[in-house]
Amino acid sequence: MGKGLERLQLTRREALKSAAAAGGLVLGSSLIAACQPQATRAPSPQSPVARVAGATPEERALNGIKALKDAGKLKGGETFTIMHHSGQRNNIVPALEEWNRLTGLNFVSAAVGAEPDIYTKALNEAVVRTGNFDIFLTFVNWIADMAEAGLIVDLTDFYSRYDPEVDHGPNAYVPPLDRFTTTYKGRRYAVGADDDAFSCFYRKDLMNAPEEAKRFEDKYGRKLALPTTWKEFDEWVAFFDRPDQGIRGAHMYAERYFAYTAWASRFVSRGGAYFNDNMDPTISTPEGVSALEEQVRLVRTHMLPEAVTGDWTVAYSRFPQGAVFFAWAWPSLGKFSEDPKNSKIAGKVGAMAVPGTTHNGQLVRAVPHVVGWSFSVSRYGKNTEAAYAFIQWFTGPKTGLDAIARVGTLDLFRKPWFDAEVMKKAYGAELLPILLEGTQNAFPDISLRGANEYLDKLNLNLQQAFAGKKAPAQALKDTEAEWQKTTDRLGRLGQVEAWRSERQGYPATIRDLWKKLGKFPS
Amino acid sequence: MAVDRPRRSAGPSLAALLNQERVFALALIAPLQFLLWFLLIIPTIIVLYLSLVNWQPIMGVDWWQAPFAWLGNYARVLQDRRFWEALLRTAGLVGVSVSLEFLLGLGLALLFRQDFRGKRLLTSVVLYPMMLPWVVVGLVFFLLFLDKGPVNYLIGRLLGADAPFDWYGHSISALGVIVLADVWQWTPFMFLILYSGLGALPKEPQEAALTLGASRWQVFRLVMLPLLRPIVFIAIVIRALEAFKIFDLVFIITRGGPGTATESLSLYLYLLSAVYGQLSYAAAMAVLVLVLVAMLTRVATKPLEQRAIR
Repeated sequence: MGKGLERLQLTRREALKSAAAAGGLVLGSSLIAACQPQATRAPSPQSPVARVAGATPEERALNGIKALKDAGKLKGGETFTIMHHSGQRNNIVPALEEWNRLTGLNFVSAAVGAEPDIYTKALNEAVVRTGNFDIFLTFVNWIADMAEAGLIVDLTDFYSRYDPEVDHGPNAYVPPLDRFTTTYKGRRYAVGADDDAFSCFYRKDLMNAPEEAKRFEDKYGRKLALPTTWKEFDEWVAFFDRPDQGIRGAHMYAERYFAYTAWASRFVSRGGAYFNDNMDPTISTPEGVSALEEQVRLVRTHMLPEAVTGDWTVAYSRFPQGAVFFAWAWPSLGKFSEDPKNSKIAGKVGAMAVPGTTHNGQLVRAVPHVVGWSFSVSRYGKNTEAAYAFIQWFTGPKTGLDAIARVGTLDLFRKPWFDAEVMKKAYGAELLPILLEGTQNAFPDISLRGANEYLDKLNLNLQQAFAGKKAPAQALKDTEAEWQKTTDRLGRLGQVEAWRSERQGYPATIRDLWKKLGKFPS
Repeated sequence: MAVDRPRRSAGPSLAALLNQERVFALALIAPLQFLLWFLLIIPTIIVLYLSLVNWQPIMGVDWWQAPFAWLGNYARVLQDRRFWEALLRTAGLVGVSVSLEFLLGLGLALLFRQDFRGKRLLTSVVLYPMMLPWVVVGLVFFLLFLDKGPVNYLIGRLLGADAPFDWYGHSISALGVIVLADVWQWTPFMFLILYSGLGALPKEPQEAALTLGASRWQVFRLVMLPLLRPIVFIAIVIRALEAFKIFDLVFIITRGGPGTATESLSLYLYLLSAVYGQLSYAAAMAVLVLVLVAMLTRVATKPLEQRAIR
């Protein structure tokens, strides 16, 4: 028995060796197979042909599908899969049913529960190329990563052929959404499907109380009015901060993921820009440091600690509970706080424009457009043109209006929708003109390749400043050092090209201010 | 007259082959080995390969076409302050929480050795936290220690003052909440192992010691604990290895904040790979961590092996 065991041990060792050799062979052959020349990542759809006929974007999209079917390039019943966030199900699924009925195709929804998972799944698809997804609905600032990973198709020629009416005509998107929700390095890689310009909400009942007006005037020597500048805003929040009455001055994100929002708004309205023309970071400049010092003071003096340690949902709990006087977040906060089912302050919510900074008598507002959603088309999908046609149809002036009016996480983005009755009903007539003005002053998140990394490093340092762990100037200097490393690693030349293009997506008022301040001479 | 001729064959039959001990053993082992190769070895080789190149999906090249960085990623990891901080923080978390879990688990195990009314029901209650999904435990503790949460409410009532403590705003208290949640969830694991171990200890040496006049404490310290040592060792090693990978509670409770004050190694690796997409760098870090943990485990289990040999 012992002998037998010894032999068996020897044999096992040999077996391991044999298995190792076999494994090596398998790995070797896999690697060799993998190293075979890959299908070239097709450039954008070439050789533009005549524009597709039709009076509206929706009509042209449907005609495009018909033409593809007539040409035998598309079969009825073919399945296309759209990856999107679960919060958009109500916007998308009813539209899919209608589209499938009109086209005879089978577009299906693949909802993902957590936003970051969409990024991970999309980049997985860039590597493994299963072809399981045809359309992605992702954060706007992921377009660069998906384009650089070769995952999504350049849609510029489709734009020419199909004309989605994004930047012209009576149905155009509110500028600058037409540019920064669709474009990377000057090419159209996406179709915008959302407006996430941050919006300000406050307690109208407290603001309009007569005794408050007198007290405010006594204290500050000016009439109580909605603040237009950040300086006025800081005083206004301080005035309404009443911890003894269980109501704090404000909730503005200072936490791990959106800590940049308020700082960036102050910073950009002062003429700040994240980078110079060569992608050297320029945030520890006087305008960056002073903006952060002011915001840190506000956070640490007049906000709940959860502003620093909570997450995005805090605004959606504390403001409707009546625990804060002012909050800013996505436009949906207004709708949410006016719903008596969620809110103790329904009927008491006012909306106001995001404050700005005065330059030689001219007020410049800079409204952060925080994330936002855009559609893009997978290179590895079944039929890129059919996928594009759906996106155009879904975001069209009529279909889009119906889809966005349904409760979901997509907000209105075409200019005429701001006057539509259905939207007035959904958002409240008071918010819409303010949201429109905010959108016109909206500037994008950092949307370069590696955007997640740039933003995360910024948030990390800003949160430390808000928590009192780092001096504001140091937090910004540390961010700059990290950003330099990121830029060098990802390739400075490419990033410079992308940044120069991205800057064109900023609102005209901010670009004019940069010019006046002598920034970006090129 | 028919003559039986031996049948000619090209080689030994399958049955004859399988009758050979070596071949039979090979045939038994091979499927498992191949499975192991596919599930473990090949991914490990790919991770090693990735750690030697400079690749991110967003670079627009396939991973096998990425330029070699050789040991560049490893050198970068060693110079990465955030990595060292996360490593030390994680080690500290493991040290504190596993120690507490062991002490509490041992105390509970000793208590449950006695017979008392409702013991069976209470045993189930004690084991209950271990069965909860981590996301539930994380959320419960997150809510407990919120600014306006029950813990601050109780403190306020006790002290008679409304000065809520910002648990997540300070690194030590935020880490404390994570440790508390971990201890709450995983003490039952220690209890379960130690309780089983105590139950399996031979009664005779304990009775002999008691007969010879030893106190209960002496019996515990000089008789039971030495006998229990291998079980204690295994429980601590398993739990420490598990705790070293802590991600879930940190992710739910603090997301690593404020700043990186509570960031664990796994959370940092997750950020690097899933959020920043720096897969090569994350691979190098993962390999280094694996080597480190393997070395520590080796050192930790050596006494056990020596004892087994003896």
